[in-house]
Amino acid sequence: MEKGVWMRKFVSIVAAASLVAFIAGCGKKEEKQKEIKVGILQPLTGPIANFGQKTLDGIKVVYDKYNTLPDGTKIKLVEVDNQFDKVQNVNGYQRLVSKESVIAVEGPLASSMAKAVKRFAEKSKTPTVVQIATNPDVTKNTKYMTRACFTDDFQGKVGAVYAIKNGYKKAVILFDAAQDYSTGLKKEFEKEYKKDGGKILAVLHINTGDKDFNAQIAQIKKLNPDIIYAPIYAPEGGLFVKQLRENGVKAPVLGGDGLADVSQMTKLAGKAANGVMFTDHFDAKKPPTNLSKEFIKEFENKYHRAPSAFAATGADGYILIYNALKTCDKKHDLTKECVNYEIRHAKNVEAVTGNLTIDPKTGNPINKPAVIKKIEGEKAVFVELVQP
Amino acid sequence: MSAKKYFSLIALITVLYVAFLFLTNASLDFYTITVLSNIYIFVILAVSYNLINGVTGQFSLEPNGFVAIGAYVTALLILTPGEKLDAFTLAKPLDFIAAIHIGNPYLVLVISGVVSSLVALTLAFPVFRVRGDYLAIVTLGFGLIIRFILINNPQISNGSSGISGIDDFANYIMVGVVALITVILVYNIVYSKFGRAMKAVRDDEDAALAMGVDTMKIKTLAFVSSAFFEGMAGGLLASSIGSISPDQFSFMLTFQLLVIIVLGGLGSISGSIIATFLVMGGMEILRVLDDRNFEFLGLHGVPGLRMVVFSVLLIVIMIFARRGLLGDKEIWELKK
Amino acid sequence: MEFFIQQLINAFSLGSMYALIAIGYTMVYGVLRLINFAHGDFMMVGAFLVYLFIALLNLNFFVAVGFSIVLTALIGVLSYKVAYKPLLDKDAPKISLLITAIGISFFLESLFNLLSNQLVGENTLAFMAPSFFSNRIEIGGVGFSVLNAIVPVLTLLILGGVLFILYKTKIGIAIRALAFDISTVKLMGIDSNKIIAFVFALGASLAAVGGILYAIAYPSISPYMGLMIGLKAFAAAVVGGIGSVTGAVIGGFILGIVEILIPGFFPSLGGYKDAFAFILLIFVLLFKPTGIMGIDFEKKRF
Repeated sequence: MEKGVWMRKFVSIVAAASLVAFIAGCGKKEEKQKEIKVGILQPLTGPIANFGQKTLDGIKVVYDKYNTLPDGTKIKLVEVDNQFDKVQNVNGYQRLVSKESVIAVEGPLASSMAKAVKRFAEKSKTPTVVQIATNPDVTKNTKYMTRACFTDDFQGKVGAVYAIKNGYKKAVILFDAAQDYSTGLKKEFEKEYKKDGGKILAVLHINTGDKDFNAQIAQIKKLNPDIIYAPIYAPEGGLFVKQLRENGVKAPVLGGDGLADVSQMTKLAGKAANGVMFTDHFDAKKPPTNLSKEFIKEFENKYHRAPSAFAATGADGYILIYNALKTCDKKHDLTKECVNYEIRHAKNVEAVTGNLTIDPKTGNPINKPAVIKKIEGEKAVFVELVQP
Repeated sequence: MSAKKYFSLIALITVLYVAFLFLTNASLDFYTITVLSNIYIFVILAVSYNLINGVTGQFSLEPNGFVAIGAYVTALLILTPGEKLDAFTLAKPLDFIAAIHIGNPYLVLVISGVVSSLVALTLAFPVFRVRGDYLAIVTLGFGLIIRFILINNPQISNGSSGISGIDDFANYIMVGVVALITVILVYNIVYSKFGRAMKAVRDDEDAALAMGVDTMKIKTLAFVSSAFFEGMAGGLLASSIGSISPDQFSFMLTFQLLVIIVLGGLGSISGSIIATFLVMGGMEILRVLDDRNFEFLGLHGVPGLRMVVFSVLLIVIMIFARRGLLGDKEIWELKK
Repeated sequence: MEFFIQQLINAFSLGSMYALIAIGYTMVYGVLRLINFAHGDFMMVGAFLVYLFIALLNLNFFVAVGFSIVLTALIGVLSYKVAYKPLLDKDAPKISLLITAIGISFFLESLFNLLSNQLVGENTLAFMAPSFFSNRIEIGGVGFSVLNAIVPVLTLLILGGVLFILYKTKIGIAIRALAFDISTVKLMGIDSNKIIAFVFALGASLAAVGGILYAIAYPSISPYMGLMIGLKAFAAAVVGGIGSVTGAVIGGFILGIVEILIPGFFPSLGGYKDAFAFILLIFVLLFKPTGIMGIDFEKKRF
């Protein structure tokens, strides 16, 4: 008994000590010659895995073409899955910066995730390009966070303008109180809608993960709005629309790019998904630049389907980074500071969703257009393009 | 051990430990420091959770609730009124919530602990009327109710969006020191007459009652003490992550702690500490299992595999080694 | 008035699903005095298996349902044989059983999370049920789906079936005897193992049915859905009287009514929907721990 007990004690201490040493040891890594790493932090599994996967697809298509710098240095992509979980997200970011020593990070997708890494981006001075997260707070008061897509200010505005233009003067807003993305859009839509003379009958809320919306739908039915603005994500959006129609409410539904996952919407809502409209970043049928056209062609060759907004913005994020790397490489200044500067001062960089010019003061792109799309028969149909 | 010997031992440990903290802080990379910091916070949690579960034998699932309370109290106190108005995106904060501000992080942490223990005190009366399995369910329900309150009262907590921009006063050294203080305090509780009474309640509550132990008081004392440290740890977590939201304090947190204290041995303080390193460190290492690029014997890493392995480990430990690593003894008592 | 009836129908529908899961909980508690935390996850397993059978093997819906129920029952029995039985045989303290139950719960959740991510690509899936379940029927201004009509009837039939088994068959008598006094039963030479295994199998298959019905009604499934629903079903079982099958069903209906009607009439309380189960539970535990059917465990069973 004594020997066995002593063994356990010994083993426990040795195990614990070696674990600490192991983790510490893992902190030092040799970097291969002539290679530079770019971190990709996206939700590859979890409830919005679809968004993340599609983003990665888009990145890979541009990466295939643009993966070497003028002086021969190879770019290596380091993918990290944040599982759309706050803690994994922050850990993943720190791992990329601290252990992998990446020179820049693309991602994370979604405003709640992006906001969470802000502090670490600033602390570690790592240029971070958030390719698709629309809440304005993501880039507010930062030097190292840059965004490649439009913000909620714009998206919410577009939604409101479109609604009023088409005669929908009374609206009910249904937003997801658990998502920064959703609360941001709700605020902007409200502002613009009221400004343009629309009347908000009620603001209702749901929480991410909710399955039963009968209570909210009962209220909507009573209020009888012209339109329902629902800037929520597809997993909830699909169920909501299905139950909405089942309860006999006919008012059209308008949402943001969170509903852009048409396959999920149709799977969840079936026919009820038809007619749902949303604001989005990109439509493959209306490529705005030559690079877009090329990108769409290559994407379709590789994956046998048209690229979504996620793929397009994913590509754009990478293009911004690549462009900056190229410029800094030519200047013999491949440092985070240079890369960040170039990203922040990007001017008319030809990209997939348009030409990117970043406002160095805000970190947001100027003049990004939005498209309005409508779901019809399991596909998203282009309705109109809106320029700011 | 005589008082003099005891205090000199404590002093020695403290000096060595603080030196260790400074050394590692200077030499390890940022990521590893963050991981270690997190481990220290979990040591605080494990050691205090063990107090109610392992030492007093009351199967409670409360930590995520008290951690949440501590985290939110810290966040609301440490942010300035201006910062709070900015941070509350869903609703305007209540006037007194917006106005209240305490700048001293140590004071804030202690207050977080105190608030948690007050809640625990109120809960203790109804909760300890039910035994065994029911206690588990009720404490689990408590954690859930806390979550609901946080989500549905945006004027207090900013609802599901949570609060971000929390000062990061919880640096590596500070967390390490607080962990040491906690361990010393808990050790003193366990090896006092209260601790002996707690173990008596665990071993045979009826006998303890018959011997004149006020079991209700002892159980409440354990519960309230656990809550205090868990609340403080919550504050440290809030500061080190920087942003908090209700879904961070789910049952998952309690589950992790459960695995840790069972592995270490219910009732053993040193066991909990060692197990925290093993489990948290192990989870970091097991992370490779989730990585698609990982290959072992031709099998690829797969996302989500880590958690599967983790749960299987718990089941295996329960079936074959349910007394854990150290049983209910401390590491220096093992020869008995 | 129509609104009220409409909501009442929804309530019975939801309540039935809780009831089906609660029956299993209450029976396992009756024989083993164990709260099987993993039980809620059986409902998730039931729903996921149907999805996977359809998506990967292209089986017909009803065939998939059949296979799923059988497979879930097997998983139930397995969890007993592999995890609980060894501990029971060793006379392990209650706390170990509870911790193991949590471990199994977590294992099932992570396993299906893994499978779902690997086999389908994401973990929040759109459950595909034959569309006729969603067809609406209108009677006197009140609309409900075919599913809403079927579910309560099905549940009552199942309840009848379970009661029949318990009171009119040999194995039922054995189950009730076990719940009464497990040591005496063993002494009488009855193989308690087989009986307990049967209880697990029965409970798990009912949970699977509940899960599948739930997935038809709310077609977005995720590996962690069983946790919350299981807890609520447990609350329902306690409210109705833990150990009583009829109580479980009554408790389920009560919970369904509370969850649907209260937000229906007081929309501002909608956010607390999920909390009602626990509030009910705590009330019952504080004031009448034996629940509605009021079974005192030292005297009667089921």
